[in-house]
Amino acid sequence: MLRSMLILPRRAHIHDERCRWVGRWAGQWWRAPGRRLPAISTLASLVLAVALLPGCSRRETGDGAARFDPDSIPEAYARSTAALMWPGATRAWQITPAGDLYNGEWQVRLIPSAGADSAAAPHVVAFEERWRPVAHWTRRSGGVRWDFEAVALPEPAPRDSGLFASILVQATNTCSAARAVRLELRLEFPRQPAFVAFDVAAEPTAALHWGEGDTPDIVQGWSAEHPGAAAAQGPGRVYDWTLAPGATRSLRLALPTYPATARALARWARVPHERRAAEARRHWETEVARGARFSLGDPEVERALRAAQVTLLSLRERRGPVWVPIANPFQYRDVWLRDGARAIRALAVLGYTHEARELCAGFEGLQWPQGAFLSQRGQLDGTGQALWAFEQALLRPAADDSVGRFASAAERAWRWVEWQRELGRQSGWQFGTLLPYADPRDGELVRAQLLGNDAWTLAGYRSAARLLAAAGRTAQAEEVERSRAVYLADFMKALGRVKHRDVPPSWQGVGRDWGNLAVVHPCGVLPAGDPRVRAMVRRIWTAAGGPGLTTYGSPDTLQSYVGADLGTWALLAGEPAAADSVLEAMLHWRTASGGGAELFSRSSREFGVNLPPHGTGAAALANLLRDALVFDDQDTLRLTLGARARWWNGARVQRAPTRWGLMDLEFRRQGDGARWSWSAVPVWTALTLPPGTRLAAAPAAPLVRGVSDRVVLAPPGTRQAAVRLAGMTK
Amino acid sequence: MSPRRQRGRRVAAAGAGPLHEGQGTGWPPGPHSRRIAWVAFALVVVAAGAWFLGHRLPHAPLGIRGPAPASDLIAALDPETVLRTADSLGRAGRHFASLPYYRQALRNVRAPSWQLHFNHGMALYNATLEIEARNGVPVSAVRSSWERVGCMREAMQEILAAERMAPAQRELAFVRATRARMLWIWGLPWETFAAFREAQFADPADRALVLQANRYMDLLRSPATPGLGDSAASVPVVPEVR
Repeated sequence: MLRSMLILPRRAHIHDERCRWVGRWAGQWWRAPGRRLPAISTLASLVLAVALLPGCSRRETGDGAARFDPDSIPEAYARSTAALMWPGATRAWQITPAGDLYNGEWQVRLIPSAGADSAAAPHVVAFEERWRPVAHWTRRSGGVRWDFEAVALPEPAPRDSGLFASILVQATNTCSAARAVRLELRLEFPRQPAFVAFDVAAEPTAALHWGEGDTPDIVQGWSAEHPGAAAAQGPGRVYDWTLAPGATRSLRLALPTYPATARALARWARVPHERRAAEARRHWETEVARGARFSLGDPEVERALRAAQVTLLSLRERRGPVWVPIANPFQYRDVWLRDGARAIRALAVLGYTHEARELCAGFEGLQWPQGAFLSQRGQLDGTGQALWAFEQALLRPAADDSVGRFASAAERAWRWVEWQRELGRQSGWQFGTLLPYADPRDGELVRAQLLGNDAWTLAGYRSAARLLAAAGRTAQAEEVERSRAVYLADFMKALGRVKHRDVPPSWQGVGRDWGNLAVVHPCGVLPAGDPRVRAMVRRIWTAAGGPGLTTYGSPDTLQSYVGADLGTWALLAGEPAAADSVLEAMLHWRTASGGGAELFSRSSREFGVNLPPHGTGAAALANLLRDALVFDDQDTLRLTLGARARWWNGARVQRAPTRWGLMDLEFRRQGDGARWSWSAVPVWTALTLPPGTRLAAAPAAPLVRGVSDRVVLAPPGTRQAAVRLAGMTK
Repeated sequence: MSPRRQRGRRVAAAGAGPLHEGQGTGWPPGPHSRRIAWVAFALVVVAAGAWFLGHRLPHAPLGIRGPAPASDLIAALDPETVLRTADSLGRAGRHFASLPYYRQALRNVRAPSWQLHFNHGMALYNATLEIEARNGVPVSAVRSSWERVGCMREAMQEILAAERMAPAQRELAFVRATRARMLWIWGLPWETFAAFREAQFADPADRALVLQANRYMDLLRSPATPGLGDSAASVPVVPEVR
């Protein structure tokens, strides 16, 4: 079990004692005769006044960096790193494991020391509560503690692609004697960067400068204080301070992701760091709150979900009027249909309908003249993924006005696939009716006819039919459905012919497991109970050492998101414990700032230069968690498929977009009873019982027993259900 | 609401101020009121300016917003220099950099030749594959797949234009074979095969085209067979027609 995380207010005991004292005083005053009625109005006025006082939040007035212990936050990887990012920004700041900052062009080295002792690298770089993007890290040197706090905010207009980071550095002398301390700041071009920004020059040319004050100089960093002996300009600054025992000294820095004038930075930094941090907190808390709300009574899971929301919302860039999803703020600032589709689905089911649909519009730019969607060379799964993403975003919670446009794009894509299949049919080759070979240089990492390409294309057919139907083009929707049935028959026939005991990565049997993992969910090509699928899952989980993340290539390399589909498969196959293991692994393998790496070593916990956070990891976690509570991809609404025992103490989901509208859900177990209440839908609802329980008796009408005694079915229009539970018998 | 939108809202509020403060005539009566009116007007102008700066300037960071658009400079060059520069950049492997010159070259002539369409198409295609070293790290010359696919869509239009304008069967076969290789590299096998066959039919006497199409068919039939793709993929795609 992961350690719990807390914002640790220092001097908490003093606060508590004050509260007790105030309580005693208030009690005596209240009991005095004739004071109760006026007291009520006075108290109400006080409460109102406190509520209305602007800028009186606890955080805004506090000394942020000193109030938070970043080392209390768990970190799964050997090295801790965090991303300061913002939606629409084209660069991000990486807080490196060394405690420096790097933006893809230049790095800001922060070198604290006390006497001859240089500060060691931070233990972790943590976000508040492991999700709120206010970064904290601590370094120590010779009895001096160095606390760092950093936030990112968008650069003021007219620029809209950059961001400014506000940094507060605080040195505290924890010794009983005075200490001479030094903070050295260096702007450098890194010699062997882990990544570079897309718009840097081939070779670094511009000189790097610190700025201060209100000058028109172009600078790469700005500090609020002029160092005693150093020159005003140049890439380095040295601050020498003497700290009395217990004394603290702080320095404010402002770091732009693109060179900026010292004047612009000075103007921005007129707002104190604490208020900038409060601004960032407010923004992200508002952003998280406007999505679907998951109140599960499980803080670790809820925080992981919030971290995923922050990552998904941040990993979006503008291209003129449209938005596109990017995979990562650092080394993968590019657009992949396979990653973007997952991000769109996650944003759609988390309630960010507008953002998800904006990204769909960005996907339109990836359609080729002949109808195919292709983002990267040789990745033929893109067509199915684009259509699936359109359906996920445009039909939840209700069909968007633009559905006709996307239905037309889907129709062109479908015609392209049908043309491909017709050519293949004419060839008479063994696997001719399936998509031709691909060499994706990723995923399956082989040149072959990839089974996942056909699975995704079949998913695209289903989505195309749904989009066409939603656009009122019923005849075309039916035509697509008919062609899907033929395609599916070809798929099944081919599966019967392969020399493989389960579901292989390619029709030729070669390659790494990738697209084939999606064959049940999201592609809906094979049923969850298919024995071949079960065999594939067993093979993959056995290689990985059990349900959880899957391996990729070497047995020591774990992949953070491709196995999430097997988690949803487990939910549908009635193996919630296995699904929960997948979720647990995803929760575990996160940075202290809440992000997951794409690939990493299980033994060394190293991710190399494949830096977290990865957008698809965030999407996978969000999608699996949502599927465990509300699953609406098929003709039946499924609730609490994978709800953990802890969630059954009383959980609530609000404003969750589904294919049948926005949904509220509440569920609770009390003793030997389980209760659900949810927004009525026009389809049957399957309710899964709490883990380790079964129906004690036949459910009361109108409920009926489902496929097992762990599931009850509620007819369309039902809003509440209650059943009696019994323990599971082995 | 994002801070970005909040900024917009503040600007709008500032702009609306004088309308509420006026007394219905448009001009306040006294000198004091006139001063207020001028201040209000100035506020409106400033607000409008701020709105313009915030909303109308292009979405580009200072770091990549250069002194003046390159196309303005290129437009000032004589047509021969434009073409020569495009050509030399392409030969140097700087395809992405050659694109504005090709675009200008197309603007410079009333009826572009099939070669010009072809070379522009090739430059677009090659740009999607171009890798540069930036600070020692190899990165794509074109920002992301969103732009690369845009290049390829334009490249296909240009190649098809070249095909329509090809003066003889030999040239037509050449352009079609080139289109086949472009589609091959981007991973569209049936389109590749179809284009190879079309090239072969355009110039049946060219045995190399027959061989190429047959090799590719073998690859389509047995994609996992080692060596098949490699032998055919060795054919380079370069702008050869000038």
